[in-house]
Amino acid sequence: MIVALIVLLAMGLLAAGFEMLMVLGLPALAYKQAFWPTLPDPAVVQKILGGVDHTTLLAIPFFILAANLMGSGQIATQLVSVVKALVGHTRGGIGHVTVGGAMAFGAVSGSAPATVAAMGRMVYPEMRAAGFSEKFSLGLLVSSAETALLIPPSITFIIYGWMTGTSISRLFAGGLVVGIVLGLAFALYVRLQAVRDGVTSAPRMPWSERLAVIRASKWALGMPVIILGGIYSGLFTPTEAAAVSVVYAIAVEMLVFRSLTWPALFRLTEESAINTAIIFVLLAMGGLISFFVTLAQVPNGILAFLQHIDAGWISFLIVVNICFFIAGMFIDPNSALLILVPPLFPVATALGIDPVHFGMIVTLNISLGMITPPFGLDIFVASSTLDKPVTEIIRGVWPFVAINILVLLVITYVPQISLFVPRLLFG
Amino acid sequence: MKVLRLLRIAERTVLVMLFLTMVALFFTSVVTREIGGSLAARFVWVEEAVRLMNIFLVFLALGLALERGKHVAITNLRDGGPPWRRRALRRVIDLAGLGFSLYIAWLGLEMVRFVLKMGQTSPTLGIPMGWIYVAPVAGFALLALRYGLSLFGMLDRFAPAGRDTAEAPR
Repeated sequence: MIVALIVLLAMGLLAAGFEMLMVLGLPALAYKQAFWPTLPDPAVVQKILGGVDHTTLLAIPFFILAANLMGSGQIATQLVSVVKALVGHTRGGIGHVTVGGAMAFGAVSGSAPATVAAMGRMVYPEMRAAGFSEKFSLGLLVSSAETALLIPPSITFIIYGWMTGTSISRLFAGGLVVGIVLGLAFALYVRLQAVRDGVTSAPRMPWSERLAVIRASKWALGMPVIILGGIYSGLFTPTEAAAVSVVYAIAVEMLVFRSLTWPALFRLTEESAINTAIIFVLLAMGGLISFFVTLAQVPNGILAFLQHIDAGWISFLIVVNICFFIAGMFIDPNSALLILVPPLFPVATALGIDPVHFGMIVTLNISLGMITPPFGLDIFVASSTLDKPVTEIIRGVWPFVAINILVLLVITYVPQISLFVPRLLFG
Repeated sequence: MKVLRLLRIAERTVLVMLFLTMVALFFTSVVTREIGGSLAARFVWVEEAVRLMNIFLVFLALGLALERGKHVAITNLRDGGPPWRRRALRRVIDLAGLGFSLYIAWLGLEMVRFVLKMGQTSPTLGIPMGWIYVAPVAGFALLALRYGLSLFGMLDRFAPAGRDTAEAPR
C-alpha cells in the first residue's frame, strides 16, 4: 500500500515536470522514512556520494569532454568525410554515410545526442538533395545515432559496468558487434528505401582519391585507434583511454588544425562539466535507490515469483524488454538504467544469463528508448538542431523502432552474437 | 545582482580549473606508468586526488546546470497549458526543489561533522574524509540558491533558450 503510494508520487512528480533528481530523490526519502526510520538520516548522503565515487566513473567526464572537443572541431567532420569517400557511391549512398558516420562518431564519443547534433548539420541537407523523403531522412538521422551508445566508448556501458561489476572492456567488445548488427539492419532499410525513392548516388571515387582523403584525415583517424586499440591491446583501462583521448583532442584541434582557441576550450570545458553533473546527480540519486532496492530484497521477490509461475530465462527476458520499452517511452535512459538494473540484474545472473549478454540487452533497450515517442531524447535533439517539428520526426521514426525491436529480439535470444568477440579477446 | 555575477564567475572558473587539472593529472599518471620504474610509484596518489576533484566538479556544477535549464525533466506539462497553471506548477517545483536541496545540504553537514569527529583519513593523501562531504553540502546549497532565486522571480531558469534538455549527453 505504502509502496504503491510512493510509486504514484514518483509518477506524479515525473509528469508534473519536476527535475529528475527530485523524481528519483523524493520517493527514495519517503521510502526511507516509511520503512527504515531508525536508519540515521545522514546515511542518505553517504549513499548519494557512494553513487558517484569510483575510478571507473571518471571515464564519463573525460569522454564527454573529448566528444565536445571533437564535435565542435575538425575531428568529427573528417571522420565523416572518410566514410563518405568509402561508401558514398553505393545505392542510397548518403543514407549509408549517415549510418556509417554515426558509427564512426560513436567510435570516438559515447553519446547519442551529441551524435545527432553533429551528424544532423553535416548530412541532413545532403540526404534531402539526393532525393530521400523528409520523413525517412529525419527518422534515419535520429535512429542511426543510437549506434553511438553501442559502439565503444559508451557511457551507458560504463554506468552498467559500474553498477553490476561487469568488465567494461568486455562490454565494449560485445557492444562493437551489437552496434554493427544494428547498423547493418539500418543499412538494409536504407537500400530498400533508396530504390523506392529513386535516390541518386555520388560517383564512385577512384582509390587514389580515397587514399588521399584517408591520408588527409590521419589525425582524426588516430582517435579511434588510440581509444579502441589502447583498450583492446591492454595498454589502457577505459578510464585511462578517456583521459588520453581528451589530451589528444586538445592537442590535435589546437596545434594541428588550429581550430580550437583558449576561450573555446574554456567554454567547452565548462559545458562538459555541466553535462557531467546532470548525469552524475542522477547516479547519486541512483546510489540511494539501489541501496533501498537491496535492503528491500526486491530481486529475491522477483526470483521467487518467477519460480512460482515456473518461468525461465526466456520469459524473464521478454518481461525485461517490455519493462525497458515502457520506461524508455517516458523517462530518460540513465534514470531507466538506475531504476531497473538493480532489481533485475541479480535475477538475470541467478537465471544463468551472462552479465555481458544482459548488458547488451539493456543497452540496446536504452538506445531504443532514446528514439521511442513520445519522450525519446534524440527526437528532441534533432528537432532543435534541424528546426523541425517533433511530430514530423516522430512519423519518420516508427519504421526504425520496428527494425530496432527485431534486432533486439535477435540479440536477446542469440547470446552468441553478444559473447563471441569478448570470449575471443579475453577468453 | 553583482554578488550573483561574481558567484557565477567563481563557479565557472573553479569548474574549468578542476576539470583541466583532472585531465592533466590523470594523463601524467598514465604516461609515467607506461614509462614505469620508480617514477610511477610517485604518482599513486593521483587516482585518489582525481576522484576527489571529480566529486567536487559534479556537485559544484549543480547550481549552474539548474540556472541554464539543463537538468533532465519532462517539461511538456510544466511549460505548456494556460499561464496560471504554468506559473503555479513552476512555483511548486521551485519550492520543492528549495526544500529538497536544503535538506540534503543539511544532512551533508551532519555527515561532515560526524566523519571529522571519527578522524578517518583517505588512504594515500591522508586527507580527513569529512572534507569529501563538503562537496555535496556546497553543491546542494548552490542548487538551493538557484531554486530560491527562481521561486522569488529573480532568475528565469525556464527561459526558452535553456528550456529543453536536448544537449544532455547520454
